[in-house]
Amino acid sequence: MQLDFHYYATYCASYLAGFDHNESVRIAYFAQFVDECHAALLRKLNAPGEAATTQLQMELLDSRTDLLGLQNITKIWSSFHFLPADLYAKRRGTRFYLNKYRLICGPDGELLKKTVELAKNKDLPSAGLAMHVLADTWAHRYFAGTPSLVINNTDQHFFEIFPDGTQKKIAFRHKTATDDPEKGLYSNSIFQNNENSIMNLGHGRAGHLPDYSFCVYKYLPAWGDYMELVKDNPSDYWKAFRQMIYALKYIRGDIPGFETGLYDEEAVRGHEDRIEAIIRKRQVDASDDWRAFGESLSGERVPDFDLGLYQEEYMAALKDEKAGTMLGMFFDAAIRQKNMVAREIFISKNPLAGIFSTKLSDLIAMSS
Amino acid sequence: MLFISIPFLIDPSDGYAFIMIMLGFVFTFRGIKLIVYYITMARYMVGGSRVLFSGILIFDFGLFTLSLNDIPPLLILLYLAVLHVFTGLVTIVNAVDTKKRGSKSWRLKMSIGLVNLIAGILCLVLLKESIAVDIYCAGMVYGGIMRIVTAFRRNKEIVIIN
Repeated sequence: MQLDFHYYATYCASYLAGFDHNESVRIAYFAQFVDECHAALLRKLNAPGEAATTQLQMELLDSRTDLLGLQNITKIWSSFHFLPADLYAKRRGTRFYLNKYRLICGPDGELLKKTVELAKNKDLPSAGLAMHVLADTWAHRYFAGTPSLVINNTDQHFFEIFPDGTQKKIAFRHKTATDDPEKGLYSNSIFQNNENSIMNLGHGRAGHLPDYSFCVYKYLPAWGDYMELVKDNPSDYWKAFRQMIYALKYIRGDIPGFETGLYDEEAVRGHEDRIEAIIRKRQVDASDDWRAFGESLSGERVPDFDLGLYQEEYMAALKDEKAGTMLGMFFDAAIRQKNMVAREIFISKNPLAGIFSTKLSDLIAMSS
Repeated sequence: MLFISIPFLIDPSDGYAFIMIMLGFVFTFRGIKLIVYYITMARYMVGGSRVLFSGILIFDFGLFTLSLNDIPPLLILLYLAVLHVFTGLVTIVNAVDTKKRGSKSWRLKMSIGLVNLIAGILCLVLLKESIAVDIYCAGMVYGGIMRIVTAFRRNKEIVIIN
């Protein structure tokens, strides 16, 4: 997902969930900030490096792909962008294979419940971060946040399905130029037959198609035993939007518990047609439409996303006051989320996100 | 490649044996690595059987290369030259494919492929001349240097994740 959904659509969801305009802007800001908080920015702010929620392309290309390098990459990408759906998924395969297979991202998993619960009774940056993770479970489903050829690869069998049912084969190119859906021009990362190549991280081999809400496509996922898989983004994005509202209502305290598989119906009533029109419109960036929708809801102007907005506040704060700043709260939320996900992955006997010092209770859980 | 070509240049008679052993081990281990990867991971993947076929082929190639120790140097040079031509052709095909997919790194691949191909053909034409060994080594040295250049080159490929 991109700025359009993480920032503007999150603003709309927050407002519909009952937050006021200013609160909604902050939640949306920190939902988008997950895509901006990389090691270079943290160094500039003199902030803790373990709070990184993303990696720049250059950081990735310089990353080692030995076990420690892979653990660092997996910890970041699995925690914030490809939350695993089922860490104990069963299928035929060796331990090496299952370790990667179980990191496949998907919605409505146990880790999503823990992510939303972790943001409860915290602050707005925590809520924003949780909304980023939640939304990405829908967009990035079927791909894993760890480099893996056997999980994330795609092949020539890749078709876009249009609303009238017709299909067109997608021939990806490897250019940094913007995609052009009208001409059917999409880019993806280049094929690398090395299992742990950075090119095989996440949905790179499917290009930006998972990020476009209008797109419906079918392909053969590398892990799918030659079964054709249809990815219906409009349906997934619609559920993502309603699940964000439901989760935010829980975080606000309007709902006693958060359960997976439930999506808000009340707050979106009367807005269904407009939301669906935005989601289904063929465009690579739906920011203007989401923004207009948000402004029509609140009657307030939704500001542009400004990366530097809270940086001065953080840098000017004294050491023991930093935790109370907006960025300080976000960094704490990021570290909490990363530790929670990496620990859960480790407890599932999977070493790909790092080795953790576990409590006695965790060791007992592991041995049973 | 640089390491292999030096003893060959200094002493072609003993260099033949050395180069065959080195090449044989490289192919054998690469083949074993691919077969192990297939068994542990790639057999569950769509299109994974290609990994197995490549592994078996390269492993077989390695064993064959290791078995060529007692035959006349002329035949060994013939084998190496053919290998060079084959490598050159595969690299050129890869370069054309890379160009088709819009990547900018095809020129370097193409130049490596062409040099390999030309060196191999020259070796075949001048097989009985002593200069054939020098041509073969020059091809190896060029290939080695270009690999080092490639390793240090800034990667312009795109990575799409979030």
